[in-house]
Amino acid sequence: MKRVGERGSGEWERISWDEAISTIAEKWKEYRSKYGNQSLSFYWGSGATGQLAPGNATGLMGRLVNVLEFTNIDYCVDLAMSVGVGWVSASGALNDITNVKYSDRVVLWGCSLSDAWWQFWKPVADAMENGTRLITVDPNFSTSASKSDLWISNRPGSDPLLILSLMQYIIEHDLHNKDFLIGHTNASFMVRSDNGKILRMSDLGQEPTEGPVNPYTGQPTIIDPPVVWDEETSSLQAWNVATKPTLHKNYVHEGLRLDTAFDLVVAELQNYKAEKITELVGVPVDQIELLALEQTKGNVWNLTGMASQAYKNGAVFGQVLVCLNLITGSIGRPGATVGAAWRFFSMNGAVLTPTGTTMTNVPVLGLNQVMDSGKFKGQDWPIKALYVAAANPVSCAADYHGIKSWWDRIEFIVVADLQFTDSVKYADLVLPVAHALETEDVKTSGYFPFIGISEKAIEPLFEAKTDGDIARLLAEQLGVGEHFRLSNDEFLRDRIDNAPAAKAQNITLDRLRKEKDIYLEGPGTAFEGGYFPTETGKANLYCEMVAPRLNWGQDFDPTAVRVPRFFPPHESWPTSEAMKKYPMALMSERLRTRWHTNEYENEWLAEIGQEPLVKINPIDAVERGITDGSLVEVFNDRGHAVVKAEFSDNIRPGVLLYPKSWQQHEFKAGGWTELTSSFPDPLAVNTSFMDVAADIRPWREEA
Amino acid sequence: MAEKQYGLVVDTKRCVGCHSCSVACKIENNLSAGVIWNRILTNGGASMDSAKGTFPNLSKHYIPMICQHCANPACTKACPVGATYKDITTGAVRQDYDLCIGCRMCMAACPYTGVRSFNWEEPTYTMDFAVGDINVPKHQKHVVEKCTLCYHKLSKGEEPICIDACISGARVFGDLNDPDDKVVNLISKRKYIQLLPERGTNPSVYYLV
Amino acid sequence: MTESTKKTSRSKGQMIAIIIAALIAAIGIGLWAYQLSAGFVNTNMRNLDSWGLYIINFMWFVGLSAGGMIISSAPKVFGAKGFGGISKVAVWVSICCTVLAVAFVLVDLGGPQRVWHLFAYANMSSPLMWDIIVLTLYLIISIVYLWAVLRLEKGKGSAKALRVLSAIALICAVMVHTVTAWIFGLLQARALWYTALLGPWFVSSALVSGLALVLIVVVALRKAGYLELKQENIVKMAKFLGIFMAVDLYFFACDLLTSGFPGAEGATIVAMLTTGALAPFFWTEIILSIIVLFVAFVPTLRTTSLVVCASALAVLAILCKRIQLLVGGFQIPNISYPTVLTGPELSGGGSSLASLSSSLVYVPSPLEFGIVIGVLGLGALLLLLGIRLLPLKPAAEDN
Repeated sequence: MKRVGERGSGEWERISWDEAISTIAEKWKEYRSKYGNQSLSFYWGSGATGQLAPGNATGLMGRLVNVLEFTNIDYCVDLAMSVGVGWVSASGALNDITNVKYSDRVVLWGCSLSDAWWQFWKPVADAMENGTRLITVDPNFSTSASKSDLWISNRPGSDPLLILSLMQYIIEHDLHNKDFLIGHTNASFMVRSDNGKILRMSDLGQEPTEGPVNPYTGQPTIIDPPVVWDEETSSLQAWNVATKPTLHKNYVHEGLRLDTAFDLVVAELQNYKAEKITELVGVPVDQIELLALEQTKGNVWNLTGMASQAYKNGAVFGQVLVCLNLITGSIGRPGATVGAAWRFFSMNGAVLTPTGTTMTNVPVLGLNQVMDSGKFKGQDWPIKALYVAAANPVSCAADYHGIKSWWDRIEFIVVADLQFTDSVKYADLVLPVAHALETEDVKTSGYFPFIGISEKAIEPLFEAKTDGDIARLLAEQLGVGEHFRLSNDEFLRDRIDNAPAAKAQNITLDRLRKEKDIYLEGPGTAFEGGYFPTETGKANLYCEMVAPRLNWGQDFDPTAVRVPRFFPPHESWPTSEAMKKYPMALMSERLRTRWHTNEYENEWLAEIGQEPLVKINPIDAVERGITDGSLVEVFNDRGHAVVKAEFSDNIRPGVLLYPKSWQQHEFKAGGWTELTSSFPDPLAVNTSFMDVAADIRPWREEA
Repeated sequence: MAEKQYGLVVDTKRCVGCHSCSVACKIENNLSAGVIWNRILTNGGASMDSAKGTFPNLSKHYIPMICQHCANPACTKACPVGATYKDITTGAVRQDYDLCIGCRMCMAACPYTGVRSFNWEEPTYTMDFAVGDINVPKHQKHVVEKCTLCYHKLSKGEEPICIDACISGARVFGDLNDPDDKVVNLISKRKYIQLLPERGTNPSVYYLV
Repeated sequence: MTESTKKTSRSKGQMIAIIIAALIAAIGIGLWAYQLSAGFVNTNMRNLDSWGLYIINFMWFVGLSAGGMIISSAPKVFGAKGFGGISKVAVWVSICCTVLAVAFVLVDLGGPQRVWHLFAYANMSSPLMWDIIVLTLYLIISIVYLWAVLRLEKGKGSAKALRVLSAIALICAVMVHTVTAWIFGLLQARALWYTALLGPWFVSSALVSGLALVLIVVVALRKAGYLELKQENIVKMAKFLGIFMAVDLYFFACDLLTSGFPGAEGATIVAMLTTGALAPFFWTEIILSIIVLFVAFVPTLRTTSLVVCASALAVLAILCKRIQLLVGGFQIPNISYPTVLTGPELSGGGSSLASLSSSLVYVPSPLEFGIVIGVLGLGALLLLLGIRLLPLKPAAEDN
C-alpha cells in the first residue's frame, strides 16, 4: 500500500509489488548518492526471529543492510543485565535451566516467571517438589510470588540496593565464602589508592611478558600479573605465585597506599546496612536479614527477569547480583548461578557480510540527538529513509512523542509487516510480509536448549512475500543483486553448517530437516569450577574499567562502577525530580494473550483476554477518588493513557501496574508508550521501560 | 459402575493460570465464537488473577474447571431423552447433539456453574474451515455442549488435548478405577480437594493443594 | 335491549374477542418462528441463567390448570353440592391452561422439531420426562372427564362412574403439579429448589391460583349473563381461597425458616429473597397474599368485586412466587470465582456473578414477552371458543 493522505490518516492506495520495489529502490539510490549510505536506516525487533527472518538483523534483509552499509537503529532492549554481568564475569554464560533441580534456593528478581517464561516454570515446579525453596523479590504479588515460599515486596528500582544490603549482612556475619573469593575472584588483588587501578607486577618493577596471540586482535597478549598480599611470605606477590593470598590487607608500598579490592568493596557496603536502607528499599529489616541468610543456603540460583534491568541502574543490578553470588560462592556449580538460563548457538555470521562491509549501530535512544545535530560520533550523519521489519516501534518502543520526533523527520518510511500495527499506520509504504509458517526457517533461542526446523505449512497467502524475497528484489534494483542470488537453502546451509558450534556438535540443515529438533550440547553449568573467561580466570568483584555497551559518543565514566555501588533510578525513585510531580511508580506486566503486540487480532485469544487497564492498590485509588472499574487517566510530562482502573491488593501501594501490548486504537485516549522514557543511560544504553514516574486521576472527558 | 472411570488430577500448586489448556481445547474441538469448555477460575480476589487478602498478606491459586465427568452425575438423570449419558467404557459423561432437544434441563441440574454451554444461536467461527481434530462432532444450534473428555482421542487410546497442553505438568489423566494408575497414586499421596463434594455427584476431577 | 339483540351483541362481542385472540396467537407463532431461526440469543436467557419467562409461565399454568381441575373434581369426589354449576367451566379453564403449559415448554425447547424424541427415546429417570407423561395423561383425563360430565347431564353414564373418574382426575391433578415440582425439587444443584416441601407447596400454590382463576372466569361469565351463580357459592369459594392461601403462606414460612435458621448456605438465599435482587417479587407476593387473606376472612370485605380483585391478586402473587423460584435458582451461582465471562454467559439484561447484587441475573427480552403474549392469546382463543361452542353452562339443577 502507498500512503495518499497525511501520515497516519489511514488513506491508502493499493499498488503492485513492481511499483513498490521500484519506488523504494529509486528513493534509496537517490538518498545514497546524495547523502551517503548511512542515510538509509533499518529498525528491527523480535517480531520475527530465525535465520531467514529480519529480527536481530539476520536473514537476507540483514545481509542487505550490511552490504549497503545501512544505519542500524539499535532498539536498545533488555540488554542492561548482561552488560553488568559481563563487567564481572566477562561472559553471559549461565546454567541450563534443567540444572535447577540442583538448586537449594531459587530467588526470582523482577521475574514473573510463570507469566513471562512459561517454559522455565515446569523445571522450577519439579525442583520445588523435591525440596527447592522458591523466593520471589517483586514489588507486586505476581503469580510466581503466589507460588513462592517467601515473597519480598520491595520498592521498584531498589533491587540493586537490596542486593548490596544482603552482601553487607552476609559479610558482617562472616557467612561469605572466603575460599571462593580468593580462589575465583579478584577480591584479593591489591588496588592502588592513587588511581584506583589494580596493582600489577610492572608497578613493582617486573617487566610484562608476552603470551599467546589474541585471535581477535592478532597481537600477542601481554601478561602483567595483578598483585596480591601473600600471607605465607608476608609480601606482595603475583597472584599466580602467592600461595596464601588474603582478602584483608592495607599496605603502604613506596608511599603508595594499597588496599585489597575486598576491603574497598566492604567499605562501600557499609553504606547499605539494613537499618539504613530499609525505608528506601521498602523492605523491613527482618526480611532483609532473612533473605540474606537464604542466599547462604547451598546452591542459590538468582534468577532474573527483565524488570530489574529496565531502570537506569539496570546494568548495576546485573553487576551487584553476580557479585552477591561471588560472595556466597554460589556460582560455577549445577544449580548455583545468576540470571536467565541461556543456551546460545552461534551461527555463522559471515553469511550476513558477504562483502565484508557492515551496518553501523546507532542507538534509538540517541536518535533524536543524531537528527538534531545531523552528526554521529563527530561525522555528518543525515538519515533520510527507514525500513522497519519484525517490529512495531510506535507501540513498543519507549516515549511515543520522542519516537514521533525522529519518525517524522525521516522522509521515506517503509514498514514490512503482516498485521496492521500502529507502525504500519504511520508508514509511507507498506509491504505485506509472509507469516513464519509460510516459509522454512531454523529457530534457536537463548530461552530453550534446542535448535529446530520451522517447516513451511502453506504458500504465502494473498500477495505476501517473505522478507528474504523482498530483500532479493530490492538488491537486484539497487545493483547488488549478485550477492542475493543464493537460494534459501544455500543461505541456511552456509549459516548453520559452517558455524563452528554446528561443526562441533555435528548439526547440519539436513539433520535438522530429518530430526526436526536437536538438543544443544552446551556448558550445563556456567563458569564450571569457578573459571571465568577473564584475564586471570577470576571474576571481577572489582571492575577496574568498564566500557559502555555501545559507544555512540556519549559521556561515560569507565571507573564509575569499580566497587559495587548503588545508583538510583532516573525517575522512579522518591528523591527524583520527576517523582516530586508524579509520585507513583509506573511499571508493566505481560498479557497472557499477546507477545508484545503480536496476536492483537487473534479472536480466540481475545476471548480470554481483557481491555487496557491499570491495576492499582485500593488505598491509592480511594485516596484519589477512583472507583473500581472506572475510567482513569495515567499521566506524566510525556503523555497520558486513559484506561480502566482495576483494584488489586496484589499491587504495592505507590505502584501502578499496567498489562502492556495494546495498540493505539484500543485505548480510550493516549497510550502507555506516551508515558515511558527514552532517557539513554550512558553505560548500558538500554531502554528503561520501568523507570517511569506517573500519577493517576479519574478521567473527565472534557479535560 | 463403569468399566473405567477416566478422570483428572490437577495440581493447583503447579497451575499458573496460563490458559494453554483452555485455548488448546478451543482449537482441538473447533469451538464456536464465545464458547469455552475449559475455563480457568481465580481463587483469590474479585477479578481474574487477583489475590485475596490485603497487601502484603495475599494468596491465590487457579482452578481450571471442565465438566467433572461425575461418577454420579445429576445431569444424566435429568435429561428427558438421554442425550447426555454416562459412557460405560470410559466413564465420560457424553453429549449426543443429534438427540438433544434443547430443553436445558441438564444445565439446571448440573451444580458446576458454567461447564455446560448452550448454543444460543447458529455457531459462528473465526475461520471459514474447521480446525482441530477431524473427528470432533459438528456443533449445532440450540443444543447443549460441554467438555467431551476428548472422546475422539480416548477412542484412539490418546489423552485429552488439555493434558499435554499444560506447560506446568499440572494436569494428569488416568483411570480412577485402576488402583495402579498414576492418578490414584497421586490422590493417595497428596492432599486434595474436590469441587462441591457435598452435592453428592462424585466428580472425577481432583485438585491437589 | 331485547333478548335477541342482547344475544347478538354478546355474540358479536365474543366474535371480536375471538378474532383478536386469534390474531395475537398468530403473531405469537410468527415470533416463535423468528426465535427458532434467528436464535435463542434473542431471548435474555444465557448459560448462567438458562431458563426464563417460558418456564416461569409453564410452572404458573400447570398450577392454574391443576387448581382448576381440583376445584372441579374435588366436590364431586366428596359429594359436596353447590360448586357443581361451575365445574364444567372449571374443567374447560383447566384444559386450556394445560394446553398453554405444554405450549410454554414447546416454545422453550431449542429443538421443538425433535419433540418426538421424548416419546421415542424417553429417559425414565428424568423428572421432566415424568412430567411430560403425567401432563399427557392429565390432558387426556381432563378431556374424558369433561365428556363424562356432559354425557351424564344428558342422562347417559352413571354418577358412580363419574365419581370414580373424578377421583382419578383429582389424583392426576395433584400429581401433575407435584411432578412439575420435582423437575426443580429433585435437583441438588440448586439450594433454593432442593427441598422435599416443593411438591406439596406447588400443590398449595396450584390450589390458590387455580381457584382464583376459576373465580374470576365464572364471575365474568355471570356478569356477561352466561351463567348464574349464587352469591353464597362465591363466598364459599372465597373462604376456600383464603384457606389455600394460608396453607401456601405456611409452607413459605416453613421453608424460609428452614433455609435461614442454620445461618449457612440457606441464609444467602433468604437474604436474596428478602433484601436482595428478588426482594421486589418476594414482598409483592407477601403483601398481595395478606390482602387476599383479609378479603377472604373478613365478611364485610367479601363483596363480589373485592373477591374478584383478591383473586387477581392471588394469581399475581403466585406468579411472583414462580419468578422468585425460577430466577432465584440461577441468581446465586454455586461457583462464582472470577473467570473469563465472554460469549453466551450473560446477556445485557443480566448482571455480574455477584450473588446479592441489586441487579437480577435475568430479565426477559421483548421477544420473550411477545411470545408469552402470543401463547396467552392462544389460551384466550381456546377459552372463548370453548365457551362459545361447548355446552359448558351449568345445568338448571346445579344452582
